[in-house]
Amino acid sequence: MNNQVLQKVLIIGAGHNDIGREGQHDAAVTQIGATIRRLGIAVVLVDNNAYSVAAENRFADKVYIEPLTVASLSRIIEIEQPDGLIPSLGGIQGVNLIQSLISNNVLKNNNVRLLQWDQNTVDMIVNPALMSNRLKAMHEPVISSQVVASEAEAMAVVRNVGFPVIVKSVAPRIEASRQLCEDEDDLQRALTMGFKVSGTKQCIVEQSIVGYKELEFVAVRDHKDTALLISGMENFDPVGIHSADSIVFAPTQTITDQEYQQFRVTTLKIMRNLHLSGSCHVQFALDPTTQNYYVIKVTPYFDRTMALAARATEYPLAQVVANLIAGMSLAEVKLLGNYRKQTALIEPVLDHIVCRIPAWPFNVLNKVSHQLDTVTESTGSVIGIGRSTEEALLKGLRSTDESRYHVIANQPQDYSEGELIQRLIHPQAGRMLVLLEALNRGYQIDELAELTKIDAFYFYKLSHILEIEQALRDRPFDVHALGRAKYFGFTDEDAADAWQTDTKQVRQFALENEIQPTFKEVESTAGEFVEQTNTYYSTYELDNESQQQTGRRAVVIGTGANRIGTNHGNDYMVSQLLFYLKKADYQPILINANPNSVAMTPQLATKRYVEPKQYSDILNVLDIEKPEIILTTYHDYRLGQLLKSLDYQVIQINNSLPREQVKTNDSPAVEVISDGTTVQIFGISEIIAGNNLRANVRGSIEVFPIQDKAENQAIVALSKEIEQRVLALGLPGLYTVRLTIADEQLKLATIEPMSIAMMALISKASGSSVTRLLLHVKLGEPLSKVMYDYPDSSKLKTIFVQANTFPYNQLQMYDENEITGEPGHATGSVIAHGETLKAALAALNAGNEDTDF
Amino acid sequence: MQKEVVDSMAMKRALTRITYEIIEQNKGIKNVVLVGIKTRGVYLAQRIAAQLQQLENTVIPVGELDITAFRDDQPLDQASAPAGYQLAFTVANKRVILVDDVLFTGRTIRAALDALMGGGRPQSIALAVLVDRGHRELPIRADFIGKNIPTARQERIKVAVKEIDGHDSIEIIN
Amino acid sequence: MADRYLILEDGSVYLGEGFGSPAVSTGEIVVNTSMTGYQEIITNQIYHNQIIAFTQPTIGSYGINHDSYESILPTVKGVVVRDVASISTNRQRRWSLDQYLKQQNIPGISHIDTRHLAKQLRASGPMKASIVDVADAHAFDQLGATVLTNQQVAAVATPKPFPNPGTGLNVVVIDFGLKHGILRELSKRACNVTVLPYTATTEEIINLDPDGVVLSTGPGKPQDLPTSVIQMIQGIQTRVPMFAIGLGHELFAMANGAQIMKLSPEHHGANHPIREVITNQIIYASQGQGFAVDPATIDRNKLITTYVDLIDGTIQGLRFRDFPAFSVQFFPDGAPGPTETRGIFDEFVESMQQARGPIW
Repeated sequence: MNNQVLQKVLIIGAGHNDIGREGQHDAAVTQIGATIRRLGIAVVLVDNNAYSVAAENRFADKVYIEPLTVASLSRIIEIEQPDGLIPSLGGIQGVNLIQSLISNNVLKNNNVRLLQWDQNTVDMIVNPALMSNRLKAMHEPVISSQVVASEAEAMAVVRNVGFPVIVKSVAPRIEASRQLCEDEDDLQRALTMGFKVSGTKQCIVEQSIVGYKELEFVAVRDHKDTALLISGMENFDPVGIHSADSIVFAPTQTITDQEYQQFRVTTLKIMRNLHLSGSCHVQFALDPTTQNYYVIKVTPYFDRTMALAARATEYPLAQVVANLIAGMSLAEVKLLGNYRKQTALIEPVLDHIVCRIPAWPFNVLNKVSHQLDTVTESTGSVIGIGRSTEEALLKGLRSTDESRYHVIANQPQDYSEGELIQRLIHPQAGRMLVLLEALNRGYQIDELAELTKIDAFYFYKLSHILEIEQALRDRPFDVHALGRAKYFGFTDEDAADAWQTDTKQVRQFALENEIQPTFKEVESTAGEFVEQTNTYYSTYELDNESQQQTGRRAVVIGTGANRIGTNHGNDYMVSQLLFYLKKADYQPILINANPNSVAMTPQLATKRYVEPKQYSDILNVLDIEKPEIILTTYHDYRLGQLLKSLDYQVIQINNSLPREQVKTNDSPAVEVISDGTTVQIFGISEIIAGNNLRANVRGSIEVFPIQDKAENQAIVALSKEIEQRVLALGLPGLYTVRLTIADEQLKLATIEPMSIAMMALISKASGSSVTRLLLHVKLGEPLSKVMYDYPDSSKLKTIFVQANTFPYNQLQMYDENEITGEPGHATGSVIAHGETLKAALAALNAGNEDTDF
Repeated sequence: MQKEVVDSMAMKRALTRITYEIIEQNKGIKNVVLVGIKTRGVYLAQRIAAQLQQLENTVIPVGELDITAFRDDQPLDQASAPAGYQLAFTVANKRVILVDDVLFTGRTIRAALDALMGGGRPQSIALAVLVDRGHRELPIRADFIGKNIPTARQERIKVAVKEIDGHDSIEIIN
Repeated sequence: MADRYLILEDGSVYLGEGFGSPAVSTGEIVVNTSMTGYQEIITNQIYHNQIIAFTQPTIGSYGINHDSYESILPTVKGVVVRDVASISTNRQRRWSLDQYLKQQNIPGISHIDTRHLAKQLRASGPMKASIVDVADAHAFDQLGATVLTNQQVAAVATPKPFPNPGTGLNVVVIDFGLKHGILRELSKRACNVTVLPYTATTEEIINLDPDGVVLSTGPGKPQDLPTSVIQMIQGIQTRVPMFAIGLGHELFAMANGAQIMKLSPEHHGANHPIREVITNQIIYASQGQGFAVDPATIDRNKLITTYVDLIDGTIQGLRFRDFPAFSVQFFPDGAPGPTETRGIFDEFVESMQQARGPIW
């Protein structure tokens, strides 16, 4: 790295959220952008993600809501003339774009330095075969693989290494999964898909290592060659199940020091050899019988595992990486907040265990195969933190908000022996229940380890969970049974169920017997040093470390796992709520267990609790914090009601999805805000059919604002009626008033809470955060006080459009009856603008020609 | 065919040891100056000087010597201009440590001694080399040796330094 | 499993569950923050007579492996953990941690709030502690009355010489309670090793015609060793290359006039950044130290500081100015812990080779 002083850097955002691409990139951008700015370097951000938090709230000096294409980026580079480009925040799509910017000489001609990486690293990321050669050159074991351009070539490889093989696309234009192929049919299917998404019309065919242990290591390195490990993590599930779909533990649970050090040293060696500056994630496969290993993948850009490593350790990863990008060494890193001077240099050690559990889309998309393999199906994940493997696992499972039958095998499952074995060998999503069932039916641990390739250690832990549960059942209102159950991660609800009583009774009993949770800080030195991360998790031990926050406390119930439909948008809204609560002089306290959530960004909330959202978990936090107000969002409506009944001041926010899918053109609506006594109009929006964008678009497109003179006049005429109808709802908030045309006249149809997508759209179009406005009216402030930065709607000339993106292709869904494009199926949202609707739609489509709209 | 015989870690250790040995044998670094023989000897000399500075908190002068013109195995017509002697300091009364990457026949060193002697009378001259590969043709030996690498006469030793080659290594080429 | 108690000399009581041996035992309690390698730590003789508390919450999850011993017999007085996995899932199907501690008559106690304990000991420094069945006044009286021996090295070092043959350089290892990792690293480099008791004299060592001498790791306070050890080091260090580790490093420093001080808080883990002075590079190393060389007492005409702990500035390495004799406070063999320091064994081997001169 040369020593030229940086003055302005360009960040290419990750674009819309998707399966495998949750908030982790935007979370990294918010932190890195903010830190770099504080180091006196200007930040220019380009993104088209409607739910980007970084693109609002001044996390960058300048934000371009523009298509993520070479043409658009070239134009921005020419205008902005940045000195440096940060390559690690835009996922694989970003790396592909950078490769084009390099090959088109855009960087060279504008004197833009590629930060963090050598240029050939970009090629190696895009083309795994190059990476594989490089790893071989450094004497690291890699799986034998070959690039093929035809089925015949692929078969030639298979004849050599035999089935099963893994097929992956070369230079994929989208985040493409590795496909496991057991036979010729699988191979043909995988190749067809792989060639289609490949930028070079090639695929890689490689030997399968299904059944190996999968380990993931994350490290940082500076340009002076100081490097340290952030976290070593272990997949519960063996290789063969995509690591995004695996349960993951941090730290590693079952590998010896020798194995651990081997992976640590290899991770650092790879970073040194590639001259990477910043963070890097290396995946390994370990042959459980021989200790031989392979390097599976090297990912030097931000991904879900880096997010997990940061959340698991609370090492200030993004802040540190921002400093490294700005040219500092690890020894020179300046950390904000209460970190120690040397925190960046202390290799994290944990005294807690973190368990990440994937969340699935099946509750909405019920026809998707539940079979777990090398194709990602999970839409998000949550973590459980505890002081034992059992506790971390149970808290993680509970955090998924799935039925608690995932946690305790309450009911014997009715499948046959043969079916059970099939399910053990061919795992499906939410397999924990199957594993517990097998243990309940008396399967031996060694037998299960052999069938599932899951380390026996975990079966001992699962058996222990069953033992504790049985003891709980056998001894109603027994102090020791309850104490022990809670010590290992069970809740009041579990005990209530086992004792056939209600949660309240159990809670009272626990209180009387001094079975009380204690909160511990998540920090990276295992208590060796005093760190203040303001991040806590509960357990049941001697010492409680979380004291009531001073000031006006506002507890915000976070989004939890990213699910399809609302949650990416919801996380964006929660992040904004935290941001503006702080501005409004509240001390926001977040309860959330999603490691990829932008809301978990350290500077947003004053304090964080990484906890499940079950009623008793929430009460435990509230008992300590005793907040002035509690904010809940759409998903936690019932929880909000319960808390209200306990006399907490609860602000329930119900904005989420549009109530119904509108598929026709010309569906205008008026977007309004009410403080309960007055109503103000943001402007007019319209929903247009997806085929205005291009063919094969399943969802519809939101347009804002519409400056149609006739419509405007009609709405002025209707404004009294709109006001009356909105006020009749009685609650302050944001609303969408849908209009219909009857007898060639506009009429009021329905009123519903404004969707989060529309909130994001208006915020971007107006430059005024609609979430801030919502918060203030919900806090009881009059519109006259809060609307100061909302522009005159008639002066908003630029047309903004927004479209949802869907996971149908990724999940290999082809049934026309299922792939309806309704908002509830969305995984993300893209935004664009233009002087005319046509221009805006062209911008929306640019770079998104293959996006599943 | 080329074979890496010393990797970057081993090269780092060799330079580290040479640095300590310089301190050991000179009983400190008073009056010590380093003179690197172009091209790679200069970078090695600079690294040793940086390491000495780390340990002793004293700046050690580093000179560069281009001895092409001084070599007795060069055709005479090329040896006409004795250029390339760029020392920003005098070697008179100094303990000079000559630094080169590879010690082979000894002719380079002899030429370097010729060049150095022209610039005054040093208190002493010592020789540090990263690699001693044997096959001496002159009565010259190194005082500080990073690595003894036995070689066949027809083999070549290639020293790479990260300053110009992008990485550190020693390879045998045959 | 039975309720047992961990009691500390300041009166603290921690209720837990016993595992391993049911014996009552007393020792100084220290906290180790390593993430992996419980077996290596328990069998490291530097922890002789001590009770080890692990901050890593689950201990025992891969049982006991035959290649993870750092001594033949562990002599720790107890193992304190949050959660013990009393199972053996390692490939070799050898002992579980519970079985192993039972065989070795070492009590363990689980379900301890080890984070709280770590924070308490961070503030107080190491204390005497006992693992007992009843935490009554009698137990505290016993604990208070227990005088811990200061003859740890004599208890764990070999009383007799023994060989560890190899085909390369001839190395004498002086045993103060050595870690097997030292022998492992020397073996990897083909050294022909003779291990001598720490009572060996200069003459006895020189009579073996060594190419180099290693002063090993060991337990306890260096000042408790007889002065003959210091004389031996002074006799050897100018004659053949010397490499001193851990307790050996502290003795090497004393032999060259430096003083040793008690370190508080102690270092037991592998997370500290350590600066290698000569290259200005930062490395990570396995540490286990309750003492440190007092920087103020170093004679800079004699010794060079080669490694420094960046957390508290403690000296982590020294080198004799005039001879190839050097030392490190940390464990360069890792086991457990980072392996990037193993190159120091190569430095030692290369020093020995250099001292012998070229082989042609």
